[in-house]
Amino acid sequence: MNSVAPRVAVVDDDPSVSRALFRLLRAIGLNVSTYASAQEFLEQYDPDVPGCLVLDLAMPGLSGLELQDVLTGRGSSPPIIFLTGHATVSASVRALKRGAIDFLTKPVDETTLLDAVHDAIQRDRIRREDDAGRAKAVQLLASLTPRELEVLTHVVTGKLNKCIAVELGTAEKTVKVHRARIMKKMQVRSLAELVLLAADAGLRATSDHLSVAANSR
Amino acid sequence: MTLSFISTVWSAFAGTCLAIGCIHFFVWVKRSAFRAHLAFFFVALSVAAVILAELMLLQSKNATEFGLVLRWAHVPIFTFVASAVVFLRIYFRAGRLSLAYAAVGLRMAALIANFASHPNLNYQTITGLRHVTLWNGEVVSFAIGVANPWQAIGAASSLALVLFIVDVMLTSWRRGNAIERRRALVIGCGFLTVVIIVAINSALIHLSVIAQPFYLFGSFLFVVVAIGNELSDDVVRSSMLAGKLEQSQSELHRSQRQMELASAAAGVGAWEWDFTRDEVHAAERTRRLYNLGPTETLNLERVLSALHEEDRLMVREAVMQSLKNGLQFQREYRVSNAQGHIRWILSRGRVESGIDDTVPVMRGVSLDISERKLANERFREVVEAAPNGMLIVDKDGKIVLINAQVEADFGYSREELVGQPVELLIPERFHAEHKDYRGGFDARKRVRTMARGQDIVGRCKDGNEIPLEVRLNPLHGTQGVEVLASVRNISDQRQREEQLRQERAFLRQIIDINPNLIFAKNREGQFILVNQAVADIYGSSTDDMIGKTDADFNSNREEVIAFRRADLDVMDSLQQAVILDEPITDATGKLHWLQTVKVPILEKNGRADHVLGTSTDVSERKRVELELAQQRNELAHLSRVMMLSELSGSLAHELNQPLAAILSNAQAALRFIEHETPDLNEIRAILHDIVDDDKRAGEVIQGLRQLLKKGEVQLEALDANKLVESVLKLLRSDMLNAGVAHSTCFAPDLPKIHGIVVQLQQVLLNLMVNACDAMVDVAAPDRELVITTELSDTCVMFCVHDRGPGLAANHEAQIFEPFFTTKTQGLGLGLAVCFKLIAAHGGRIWAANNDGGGARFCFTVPANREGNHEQRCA
Repeated sequence: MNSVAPRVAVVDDDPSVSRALFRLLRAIGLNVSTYASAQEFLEQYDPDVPGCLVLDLAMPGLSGLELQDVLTGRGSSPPIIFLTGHATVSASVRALKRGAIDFLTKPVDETTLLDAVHDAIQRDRIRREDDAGRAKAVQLLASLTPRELEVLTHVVTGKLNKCIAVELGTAEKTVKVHRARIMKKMQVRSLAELVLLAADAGLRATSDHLSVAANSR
Repeated sequence: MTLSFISTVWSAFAGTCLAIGCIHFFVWVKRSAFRAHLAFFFVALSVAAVILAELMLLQSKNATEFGLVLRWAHVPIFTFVASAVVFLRIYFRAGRLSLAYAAVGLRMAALIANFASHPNLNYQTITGLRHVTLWNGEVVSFAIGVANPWQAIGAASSLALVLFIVDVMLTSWRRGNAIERRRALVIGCGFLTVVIIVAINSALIHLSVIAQPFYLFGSFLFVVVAIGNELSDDVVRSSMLAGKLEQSQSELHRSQRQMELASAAAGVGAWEWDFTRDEVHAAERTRRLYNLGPTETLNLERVLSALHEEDRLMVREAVMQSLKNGLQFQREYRVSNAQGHIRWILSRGRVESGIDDTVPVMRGVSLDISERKLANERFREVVEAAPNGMLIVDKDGKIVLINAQVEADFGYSREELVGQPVELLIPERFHAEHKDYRGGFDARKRVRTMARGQDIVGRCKDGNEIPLEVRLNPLHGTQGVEVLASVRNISDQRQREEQLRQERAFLRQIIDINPNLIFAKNREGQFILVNQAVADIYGSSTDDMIGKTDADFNSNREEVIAFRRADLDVMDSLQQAVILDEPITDATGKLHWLQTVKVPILEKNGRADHVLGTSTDVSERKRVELELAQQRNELAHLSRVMMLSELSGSLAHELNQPLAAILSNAQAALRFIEHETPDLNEIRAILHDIVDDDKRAGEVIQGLRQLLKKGEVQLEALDANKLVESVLKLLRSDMLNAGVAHSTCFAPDLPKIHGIVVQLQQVLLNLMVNACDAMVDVAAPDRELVITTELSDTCVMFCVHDRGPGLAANHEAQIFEPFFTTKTQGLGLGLAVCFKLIAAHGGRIWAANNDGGGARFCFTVPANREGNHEQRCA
């Protein structure tokens, strides 16, 4: 993964601004590509390329916020730094809520911008690493039988075996067996590890729909 | 028987008488004009008869025979008396008729008595004859008898005859020349001798002094001879003259023709009246004057008949008068022709000797004076008909003639004035002065006005005095210099003048009381009329301003030039001009605003050399208007500021965009420079971009400043499409934020509009922002704003279409009212301000729903055609 150099994508309908940003970012040795509109970016977007997105808020066609929504929806959004000529509170709140790294106003000082860009690239790297761990946990979780998964959901909530057996209408001994097999399959040695892994895999306590969601992944 | 001596002598006498008489008888036959010769023939005949009768008496045999012969002898005696009287009358044109009649009448009576008596007038009875034997033995008889008392009648007749003859002699003597006097003496004495001898003889017989009449009739012969001699003289002379006459006849004829020619040339017609024969001889020209035939035989009556009937009597009397007293005859009279045309003739004439110096005639000339008469008549008529009083005053100051107007003006009748001194018409206090004036009147001068510059006063019959204007004109007449005075009663005129003056004063008052400015100027710009209001503005007086120009009072050159130009335009174009806002600086330097109407004052030739103007001072209204405009501008500004504050975000974006580019570019450049081998091309490109972005930022700020600027606004000619674009630029980011797409549909080649750029931008901004707001709830792809421009009549129409929900049915009219809003946040002033601004531009703004949904807001602004600032859109 680290073999691919991170790339900064600049999306701004104002060619003058995007040209300036391109020059600045390249001057500090970053790979930069500029896009005149959100559509153009989407057409050429490769989620596997690490990096970040410096996004203008107001643009003809898809706006910056809309692009953010699209990318989030795809689940492959790069870290986004919003850059706007006129920051409104509502827009900034909305952007940050949707996971924007930063919300900067034009004209932006290079320090601020570069900090944000570096931060974003860093985050992207971490995220990409997290994503790799999570994928492994899900993979392990997928190896569990439905009954083991059912038991697991009860285990991560911290219930005692006896209580689980009562709820599932089975023997305490059977629960113990399932538990041991789960620990083995999940390659963990302690309950704490199991809980963390389950969380990484997206399993949440007794939430049917989330477990379904996890299953669907 | 031997021829007796008596018979021989008496017969010879009688024959001689007869012979002489016959000679004259033939003279008369040849020249019937010589009637005296005929009379003389009878005289001679009578004498011859008497001589024969005497012979018979001398030789009578008895008393009876004697008586009979004597009786018949009275017949030739009577013819003798009668013919003698006639002869004398004709020959001498003298002798009293009464005496002539007495002589002839008494002789006639004697003749009657003679035949009534027996045997005759001389004797009552003849008792016998006394025979006397002469020296040669011849016996002659004398009657013896009783004398007849009737014989006295014969004596009386003889006496009358004597007296008549004496009368003839005396008259002729007094009148005549030497020849005539001689004739009168010879002939008169001849007759007198005979008559006296006979009369004495008869008287002696009657008184019985002698018993026998002397037979003296033989002596008659001598009388006859003497008279005959005289008459023959005439005949001889006339035959001598006839030769001369013939000779001079042609001369005379020629001179007569010359005279006629001269007369004709002088316009004079000659005439001659032979009154003894009542023959009128007239030249051809004279005949024409009197409308008489060229060959017609003329006498006095015929000539008189040619005259106007009213003048005939007068002329006849004048002619007779002249004939009687021998003085010159001169009359003016009228001749009317068949057509009734009247000609005035002046005739002059007097008695002169005829051609042969013996027959006197009246000679004269006639002259056509119609022209002069007509001129005179006309002069009188003109004077009479003159509208002014006319009077002629002679050199003594007496009134000679007046016309009807003088009667009317002064109340006197013509009879009361003519002949009176002219001072009668002048008030007493001026009499002395007037007499002096008359004395100093200079006849050489022509017409002049009496006492020019002063009032002349006349006095009427009733004592009233009237103002007069008198003009004097000398008339040079036969009576010396007279003065024709034309007297005009100017009391009416005075009254009218006074009335006019009052009316003028009244009008002047009206003009002056008028608070509006009223003035009239000529082509030179000089005031010919101003009212008090004008004088007040210019700090002058209405009288002082006359003849002066605006430049004399107004310190503002531009205003003066504008006034002058407008004045000349009106006079040249003959069109009324209305100037709605005309500035004028008053005497204190304060500016007034006038609304002025100027009209040309048309002359008769269709041109105008004067302009009449009236101005209303609209300063107050203007001030209110300006105040309103100011308020409107302030409100517009306020509204603009509010709107801009709403748009501040997007405006900040517009500004931040270039600033961001600049900053980043600059910082990038700094880093490039740090490189060991800086890419100068790159840095140059960066710097170019920085410059461009800086300019861009400057433009944004400029636009903002314009919108935010407060205070004076200016009308300019604007490009409608560029105006829309400038607004779109401002709104770009806002519309991006709102997710509103926009498109434009511009009409090409639009005329410039006349407007205040910032205000029109404001209106467009407002409408566009509203349109964006209206589409908040519309799905993103449908949020579209369309702006169109098009030419509508003489205006440019702008429309902003949106895809929003459109206007509620009852809102269309209300939306432009202040404080009406459909927005949750909004004062409701935006559209109200737009409405005011567009109205101030002379345009119209309205809203309507589009057929395909959404609303459109449109407004019009007058196109700047022909610079008509007052144009408004329908």
